Amino acid sequence: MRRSTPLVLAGGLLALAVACLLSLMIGARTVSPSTVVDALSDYDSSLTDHVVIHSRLLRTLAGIAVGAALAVAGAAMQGMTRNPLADPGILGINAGATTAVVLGVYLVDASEVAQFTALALLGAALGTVVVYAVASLGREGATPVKLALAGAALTAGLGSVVNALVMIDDSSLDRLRFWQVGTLGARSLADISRVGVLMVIGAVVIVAMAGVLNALALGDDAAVGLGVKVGRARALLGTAIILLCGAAVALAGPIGFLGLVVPHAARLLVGGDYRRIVPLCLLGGPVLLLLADTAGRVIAPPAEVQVGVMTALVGVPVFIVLIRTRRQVGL
Amino acid sequence: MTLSRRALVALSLLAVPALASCSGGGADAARGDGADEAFSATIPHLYGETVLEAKPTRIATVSWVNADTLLALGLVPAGMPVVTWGGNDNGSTDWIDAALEELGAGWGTENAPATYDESDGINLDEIAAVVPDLIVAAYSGITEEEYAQLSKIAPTIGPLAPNYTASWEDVLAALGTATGLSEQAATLTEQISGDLAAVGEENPAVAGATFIAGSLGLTDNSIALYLGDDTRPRFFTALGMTQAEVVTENTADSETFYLEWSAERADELVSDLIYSWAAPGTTVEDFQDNELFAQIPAVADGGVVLTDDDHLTLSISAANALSLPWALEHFVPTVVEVAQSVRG
Repeated sequence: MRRSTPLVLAGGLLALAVACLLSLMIGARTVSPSTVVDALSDYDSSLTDHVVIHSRLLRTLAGIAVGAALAVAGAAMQGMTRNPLADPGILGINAGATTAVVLGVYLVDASEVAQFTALALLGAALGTVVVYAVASLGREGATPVKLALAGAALTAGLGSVVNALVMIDDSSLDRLRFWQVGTLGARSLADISRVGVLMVIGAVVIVAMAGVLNALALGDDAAVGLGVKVGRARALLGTAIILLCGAAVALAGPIGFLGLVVPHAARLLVGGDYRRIVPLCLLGGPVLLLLADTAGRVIAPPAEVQVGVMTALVGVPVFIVLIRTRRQVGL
Repeated sequence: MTLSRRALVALSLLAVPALASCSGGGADAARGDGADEAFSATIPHLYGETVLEAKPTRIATVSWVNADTLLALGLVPAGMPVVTWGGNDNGSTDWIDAALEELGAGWGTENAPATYDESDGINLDEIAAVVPDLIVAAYSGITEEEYAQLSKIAPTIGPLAPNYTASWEDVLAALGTATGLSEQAATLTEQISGDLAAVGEENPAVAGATFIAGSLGLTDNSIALYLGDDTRPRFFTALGMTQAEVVTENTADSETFYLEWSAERADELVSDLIYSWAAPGTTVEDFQDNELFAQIPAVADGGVVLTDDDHLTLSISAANALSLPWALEHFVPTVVEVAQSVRG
C-alpha cells in the first residue's frame, strides 16, 4: 500500500516546517511565541531572549543541513552497496574522517570548523579509497560484502589509532569532546554556509543519479545490462557521499543512525524507487535530527543532551519498529 | 553477631596502642639506629583504614596532588605518575621541578623519583617495580577494586573523599600523619591558608566578590559549573570570595563536583566574577564574542578570570600544598586585577 508520492512529499514539508518551529520555540529557556516572532523580524542583540532565538535559528539551520546530508548519503550508500544496514560507519568513511581530525588536532592543533572540514573530507576520501582498494582485490571485484568487511576492518584498525593518539595527549581529548558526541550548537552562519556548499553539491549529484542508484540496487550485472558504467557511477556517488559525510561530520561530529533509519522509513512510505526515496530523505533527515535535538534540550534541565546521543535514543527504537513491522528490511 | 563485632571493635581499640608500642620497639631494635621513636599511624579513608607500623621510606603515588604534597613536606616520592595533562617538558610541573631541585633530587639525578604513565589507568606493574612500602591515592578517583589491587603491592591510602574531591588540607594532614610529620603539615596548612586569606584581607574588591567557577566550552556552547566541594570553588573561597547563589542553589549533593548548564540560561548565572579554563590561545574576547556567553553578566562586565594555559589551570584544579604557593605567585595577581576592574 504505497501512498502517492506528492502527498508524502507534502507531508514531509509540513513535518519539516513543524520541526523547525519546535526547534525555534522549545529549549532550556522558555520563550513566548510572540517573542520568537519579534526576534526573527526585529532582532535586538541586547535582549537575552532574542539572542537565544538567534542561536536556535543557527542551530536549526545546522540541523537541516546535517540531517539532509546524512540521510541522503545513507540512502545512496544503501543503494550503492546493496547493504540494508549501510550508513556512514560502513566503507570506512567515519573512521577515516575521525582519524584525520584527531591527527590534525594532535599534530597541528586544529580547532576551527574549516580545518575540521578539510581534514574530515581528506580522511573520509582516503578511508574510502583504502576500503575500495582492499575490497577490489581478488577475482570478483568490490562486492557489497567485501566492501562492508573491508570497511569494518579499517574502522576497527583506525579506532585503535585514534585511541592511542588520544592517550598520548590528554589535551587533544578536550578539544575532541564535542566532536565525538555530536552537537549542533556553536556554529556560525559562516561555518554553516561554507560547509553547506559542499553538502549541496553532494546532494545534487545524488538526486541527479537517483535513477542510476535504482540500477545499481539490482546488482552490478543487471546495472551493466541496463547500460550503467558501474565503475564511473560508483566513483561519482562515492565522491558525493564523501562530500556529504565529511561536511556533516565536520559541522556536527559523527551522528549515528540517521543515515540508517531515514532511508528505510522513506522506503516504507514511497517504495523502492530512489527517485522518490532521495527527495524524501532530504526532508526526513532534518525532521528526525531537529526533533532529536529539540528533545535533547528539554530532557534533562538545566543541562542539554547532545544530539548525537539523542539520535541514538530516538533512532534505535525507530529502527527496531522498522525491522519488526516488516519481516525483512528489503531494498 | 552484633555482640561479637562490637567486642572485636572494643578489643582492637585496646590493642592498637599496645601493638604500636610493641612493634615500635621491635623495629628500633631491628634497625639498630635508635633514631626512630615508636611509630604508628592510622589513616582512615573511603575504603577502610590504613595502619602503618613503621615509618614509610619508599612511597609511591598515583593521581595528581599526592606526590606534590609529599614534596611540600620535604619528602621525595620513590615513584610518581608522569604529569600528562598540563605538564611541562619534563612530564612534570614547574613547582614539582623546583621542589625536586631543592631536595637534591632533580630530574636526571640518581635521587629523582621513578615515573610511570597513568594515561591507560593505574600502572600496577611499574608501581610494583618501585617496591614501595606505602602507596598514596589520598586524592584520586580510584575504585575499591583498584584499591584492593594496590593494597596487594603495599599498604595503600585510598581516596579521602570521592571523585577527586579530597581537599588539599586533608591530603596534607593524612600524609603528615603517615610520615610522622603531622606538625610540619599543620604548620604548612596554616601558612598557605593564611597566605590565601591575606589576598582577600588586603584587597576588599576580592573579599566582597561573588564568583562562579566553571568551564565555558566555545566549541559546543557548553557550560559546566564546578560545585562547592570541587577544588576550584574552594580556591576562590579561600581567597575570601563567596560562591554565587545560583551555584549554591543548584548543588544537589556533596558527591557531584560539576553541573552542566544550558547556555540558553546563561543570563541566570549572576556573579561578579566567572572563572573558566580554556584551550591555549583562548581570550576573554572569545567569550564576549559568543552571543550566548555574552549573556552571562560577568562576561558582559569583563569579570572573566581565565586560565588559557593547562599548566596554570592544573595549579588550581589539582590544587595542593606545593602548587598553591606557585598559583599565588602566578595566577592570583590576575584574579585581583579582574576583581578590582569589576568592583572598582
